[in-house]
Amino acid sequence: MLSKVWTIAYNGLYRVYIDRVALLYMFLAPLAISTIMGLVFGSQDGDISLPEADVLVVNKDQGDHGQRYVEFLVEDTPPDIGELIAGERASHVNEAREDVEKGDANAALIIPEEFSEQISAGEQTAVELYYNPGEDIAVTITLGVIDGITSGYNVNYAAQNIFGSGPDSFFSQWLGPASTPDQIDAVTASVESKLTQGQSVSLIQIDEVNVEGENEDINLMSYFAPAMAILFMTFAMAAGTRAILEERQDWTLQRIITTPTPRWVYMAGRLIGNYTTGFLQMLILIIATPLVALVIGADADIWGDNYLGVLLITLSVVLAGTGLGLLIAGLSKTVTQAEQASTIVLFLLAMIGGSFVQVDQVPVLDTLSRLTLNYWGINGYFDLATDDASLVDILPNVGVLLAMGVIFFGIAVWRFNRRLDF
Amino acid sequence: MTAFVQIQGLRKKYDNNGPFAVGPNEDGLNLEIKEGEIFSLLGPNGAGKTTTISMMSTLLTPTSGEVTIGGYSVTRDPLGAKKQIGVVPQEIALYPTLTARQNLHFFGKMYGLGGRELQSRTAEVLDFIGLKDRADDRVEEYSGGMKRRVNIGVGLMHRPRLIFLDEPTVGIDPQSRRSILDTVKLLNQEGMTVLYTTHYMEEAEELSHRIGIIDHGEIIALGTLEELTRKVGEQDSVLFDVDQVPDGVESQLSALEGVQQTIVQEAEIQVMCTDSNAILSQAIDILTRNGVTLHSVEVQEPDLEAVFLHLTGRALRD
Ligand SMILES: Nc1ncnc2c1ncn2[C@@H]1O[C@H](COP(=O)(O)OP(=O)(O)O)[C@@H](O)[C@H]1O
Ligand SMILES: [Mg+2]
Repeated sequence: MLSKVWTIAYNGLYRVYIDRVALLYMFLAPLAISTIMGLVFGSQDGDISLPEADVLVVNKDQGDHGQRYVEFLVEDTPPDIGELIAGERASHVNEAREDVEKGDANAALIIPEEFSEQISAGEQTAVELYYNPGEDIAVTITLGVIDGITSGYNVNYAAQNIFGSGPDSFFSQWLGPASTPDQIDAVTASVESKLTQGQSVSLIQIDEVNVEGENEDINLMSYFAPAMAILFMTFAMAAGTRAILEERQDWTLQRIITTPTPRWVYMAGRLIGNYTTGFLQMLILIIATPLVALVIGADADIWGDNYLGVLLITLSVVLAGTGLGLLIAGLSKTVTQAEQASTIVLFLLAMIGGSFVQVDQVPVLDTLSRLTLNYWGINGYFDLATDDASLVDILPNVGVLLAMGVIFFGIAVWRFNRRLDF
Repeated sequence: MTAFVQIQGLRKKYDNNGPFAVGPNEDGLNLEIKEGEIFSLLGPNGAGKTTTISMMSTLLTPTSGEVTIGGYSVTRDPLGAKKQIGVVPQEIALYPTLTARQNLHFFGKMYGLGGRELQSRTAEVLDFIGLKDRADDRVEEYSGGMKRRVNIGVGLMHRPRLIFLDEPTVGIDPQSRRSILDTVKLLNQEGMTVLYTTHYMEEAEELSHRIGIIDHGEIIALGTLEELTRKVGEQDSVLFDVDQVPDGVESQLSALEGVQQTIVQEAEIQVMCTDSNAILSQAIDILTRNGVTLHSVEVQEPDLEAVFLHLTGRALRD
């Protein structure tokens, strides 16, 4: 009986293999679409949908001066800067540094404990800007902004140092009434002498710590490739189970039943054939997408290098896909009905599950998406590729996908048994 | 000859489709098919032929009754029963994108063949159905007749003792039909028992050792061709091909002495009578009096068509 299971599975696999249209759908379409999407959107820094720089502010200082940074970066950011920087308070220096290293934040600004005291006392002090150089644009923005705040202090301090008062008095006193070339020369000379005497050293220094941490330069293909692969895998799986309905229509199924072959052998053979088809489809796409990227000169690091993790997600997402296909076919009465239902259902799931756009910014979709196999599959692959997720990190994804598979199969087999009666 | 197939009290009721039932009366359908014979089930479309065959080949669960094939009960030992039979469905039950060879191969494996035996049997069957040259073309590229031949070939792969052929000549050209009928006879000569269903009476007449006439799910007559035609008795059938059939013609004809039945179908009037010579002139007289133009008159010996007409009052063909 087992050899018959394999014969039936192979028969299904082979008929897909010689079906050009099916192959086009299974391989060319997802390859082309994900590559095009990847090219159009290019690769982006940090979070796909947040162009701002994520800056963690760790304020150990109790006084007003530290608070000024916090206000500016976190609490009361001017609108135009707010578009560029998303500041967030953090309480632990080490954790903040780690986040930067992992690429979860672009930079961390660390304000030391005695910051305000030291400023008030006119002592030199420093803030630490811990950043990851991989985040080019984000870090440049952050550096610029923090530089701006800091130099505000420093200019003031320098002016006081030199003139005993702020810049205002400098202008009124020296450049105000009679600013002849000679007078200006005199002023310049005086300032120069004071500067060389070392009196106007900046009050606050910025200690820039370049951590050379992980470069979270996200390859958007790491998102779109699994998204499209999963979408077209679910289509292939739906077509695969629909083929069972077609076989009933064409009487090849009945013919098999009239041979000394139990129904469960037929069912097992078809499902194993389907599952293998889906698995091979995913596998080929996982191998082919980087090759295509290489050929067109794009970033070929799409799936990361946690091969076992990728395998686990693949095994489980295909199981869920096969189950879903069986469920749709099991609930449909005719081939046409199954075809229409699968088109609608699968596109809807892909949409909700984030195959076309990231959904975690949309409140309702964010929750709904968790009901789709697309979400768990895409994010499993994506985390493996971009976050260096470990096997433990993706276990929830694997677990949810397996559970979905089991539930779909349960309902479908129960429904489908009735469809096997002629 | 011993009974190879025994059908006792077989009934199938389709609840979802009105009152149709195979074996509608209380006894259900009873039938024996002897080893080595060609048995035909003759009946119009929808008579229940496919339903009966489906129950015999475990596709449908009977509502009640029992079928035994070669001693194996289809309900209690379906695998044992299925090993005895080859089923050729009414539909072309083949994978269109596979070649004839691949289809034979696949179903051969389903019948439990393997290895060398599978290879040699595939070659034999391809030869037998005359498709050796086209064996590696996809079935979808074949003509209707060729598809029918492969359809039959699949059912022969495991050399079954009994083969079910469900309307195997539907929708093909006369030449292909001839070749299929000859194939059936050849198989039977080699010792295979055949259950053949058709709605063509000529096929049943030509092939069968015995015939069961089925209508509305019920076997209404059973026997050899002679036994069945004898049921019509010394009855003749006169067929008038006319231009029109005005009201009243039917009853006037029926009133003639010796006329048992008059059946009007479009431009055809069929009169069943004890002696055609006795009524012919009077009948033509009635027709001319009613302004009917007569195209032709045909006096027919009793055939299965007449038997069916006699039993049901309807023509076999729609
Ligand atoms: N699965 C079914 N459910 C309900 N009615 C059916 C089903 N299969 C066949 N029938 C009906 O039963 C009758 C007999 O069908 P069938 O056995 O196919 O006749 P035949 O093969 O002699 O043409 C027909 O009226 C058909 O419409
Ligand atoms: Mg039929």
